Amino acid sequence: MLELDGMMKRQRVLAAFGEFAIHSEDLDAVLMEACRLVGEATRTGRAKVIEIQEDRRELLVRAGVGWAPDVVGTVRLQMGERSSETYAIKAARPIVSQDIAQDDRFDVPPFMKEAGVVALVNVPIFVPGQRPYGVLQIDDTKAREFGDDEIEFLRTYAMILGPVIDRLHLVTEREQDREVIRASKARHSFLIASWAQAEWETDANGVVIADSPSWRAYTGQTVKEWLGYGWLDAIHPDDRTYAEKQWREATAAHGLVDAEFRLHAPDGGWRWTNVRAAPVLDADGDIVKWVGMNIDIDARKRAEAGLCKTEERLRTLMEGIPQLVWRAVSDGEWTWASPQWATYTGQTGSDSHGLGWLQALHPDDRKAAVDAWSHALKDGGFQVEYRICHVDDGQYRWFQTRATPVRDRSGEIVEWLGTSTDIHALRKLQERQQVLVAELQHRTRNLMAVVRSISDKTARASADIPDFRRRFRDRIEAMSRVQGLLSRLNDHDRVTFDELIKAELAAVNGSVERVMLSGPAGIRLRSSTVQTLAMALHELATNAVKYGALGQPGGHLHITWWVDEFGEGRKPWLHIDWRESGVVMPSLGSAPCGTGQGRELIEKALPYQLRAKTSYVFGPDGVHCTISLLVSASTEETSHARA
Amino acid sequence: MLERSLEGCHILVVEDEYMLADELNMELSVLGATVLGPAGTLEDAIHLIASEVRIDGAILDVNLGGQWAFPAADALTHRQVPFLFTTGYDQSVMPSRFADIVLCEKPINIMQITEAVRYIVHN
Repeated sequence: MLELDGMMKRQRVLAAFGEFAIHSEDLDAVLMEACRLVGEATRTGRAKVIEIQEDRRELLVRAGVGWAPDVVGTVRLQMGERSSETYAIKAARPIVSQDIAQDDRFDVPPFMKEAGVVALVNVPIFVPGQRPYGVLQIDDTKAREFGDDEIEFLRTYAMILGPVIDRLHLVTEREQDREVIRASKARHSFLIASWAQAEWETDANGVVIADSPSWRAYTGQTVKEWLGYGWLDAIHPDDRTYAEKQWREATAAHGLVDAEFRLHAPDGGWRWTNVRAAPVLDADGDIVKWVGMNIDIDARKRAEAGLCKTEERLRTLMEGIPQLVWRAVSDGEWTWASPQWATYTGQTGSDSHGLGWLQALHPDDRKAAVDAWSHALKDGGFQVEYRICHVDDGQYRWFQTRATPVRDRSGEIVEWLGTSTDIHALRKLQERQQVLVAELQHRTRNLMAVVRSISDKTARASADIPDFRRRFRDRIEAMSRVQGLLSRLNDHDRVTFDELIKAELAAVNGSVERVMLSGPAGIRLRSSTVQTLAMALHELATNAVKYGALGQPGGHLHITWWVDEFGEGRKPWLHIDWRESGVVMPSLGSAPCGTGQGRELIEKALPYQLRAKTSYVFGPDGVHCTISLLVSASTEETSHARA
Repeated sequence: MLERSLEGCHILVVEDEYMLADELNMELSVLGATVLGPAGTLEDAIHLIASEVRIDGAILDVNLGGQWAFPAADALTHRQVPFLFTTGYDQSVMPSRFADIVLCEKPINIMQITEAVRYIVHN
């Protein structure tokens, strides 16, 4: 009767559990109910489900009744040889310990001893496929036996439990999968919304058959404009062929699409877009459709274009300016040189890098350049003039070199940007200017000395003050005329002899019609000779007016000159022949009139100062004077001038 | 008294400008000096310095027809002949080795220059 009662009870427990399990989707609830029912059926009021963990080294008390709250879901046990649970799983059958104190096969965990457990049975649970899930464990606080029918019941119970657990595992996994898919979809939407301005789909052939509100918002196209290949109309005319080609090639090759082009914007302008699309395949690998999106890259493209332009401008500037440009680090070691530097110096590639540039400098200037760098950091600037060798002719030219430090945000010098400017012409001009100023000073002072000397000589020869005044003024004016002729000259010009003689004759009040000039025009006089020669000619002309051919009615003056290109020293000599005729000369014995200074100039000053060869003779009917002197090597013209 | 103060002194005059050379010649003669030259070129000056037996002092124009007179100055220094420069240039054109040489800027004051000659000859 008792036996029958027990059997009936166990049958009811199985039925009750079966019913509960069918309606529940919650594994924990099912396991708890299993523990409760089995505890009742065995009249122990205690049962646990202990689950093997994923690492297969630990066991977790997954569910239980008759146990403290800090045990269920918390307590973990190590799987091992002396674990009764592990033993039962390996043995694949229920294992009974009637009294744990007497059973030396197993170590019973402390929490069970503390709970007063004396007897226990472990029934392994297998899910379909003979995979062990864990154990169903029934405990009792007093030693007891477990009958065969009781063990058989627990075995049956565990066999039902296995498939139930398996079904609920699958349910949970599906639920988790759905959750993962939902999260993934949310992430994708978020990413697409953040990155892409439009998303869309086409059919398997790449033809648009579905609306895309985001495309319409992005481009301003209507649905009708968008469908089919209408989207091509939204592309910039210059990019259309390219875009269509990219799309057709990718769809034909079943590849990915990644292209950049300009797209019509609703405001009427054009915006750069990056289109990306990928085929969606079915289980057989056939294309079901295409999904794609447009990412707006207008800002980036414009920034790139702007940067390109800025870089282009900067490069054009750096390579176009007539300076030699370079970059260096703080101790003067170059890191870059502009093409101008390479062209000018012939230093190619990295020849100029480091301190290589020093090799292009004049050896005498290298120290100055190095010194300038040693001060650069302290002074926060670099400025020095040195000569750089021109590769074309090997000549050194002067350059002014400056460098400015480039600083980072914290004010630290990152590098130096330098330019070298050709100041050779300027420098030569300055040098020439200095020479000219010194020369001018020299000449002015000499001239003053000559004027003073003339005044002394004139004073000695003058009868009285009015006489001095007339003579002195006469000579000063002659000097002025020479200065006038000289000052009009450019660098390579020379005063020509015909110019000089005509100027002197024009200045004296003589009868010009009685003068005959015959000789070539354009004989270039050495500038150093002009003044003294002019003074001598002036004295001759003055005397001719006063006492000679230009003062007497019957007088004639014939001035002839010619150049002997290969005269003494194989140099060009000018020969001047001054011949007066028809002059009534003073009687022999009386002193010739007015010959003092003129004669001294010709006979002494010209030979002394100009290395000239001269003669001065009183002929029977007038003065005959010859002057021969060196002239400038080249004559501009040789045509004859006559007056 | 300046008169005849250079009596018997042999003074070399190197000056390319005839008028100025002539003037110096006259003035020095008045003071009793025997004038050597005047020389108008560097070549003549060098020749005289090398050939004259006695030179007590010299007046040297710095610029001789575009040529610097410094080789002549060096020749005089070598012979230990005292001399002075006349010039239309600044002191700045003078080589540093002549820093101690008296420099008379043109137009020269004849009194000053004869005084200077007397000084260098007698010291």
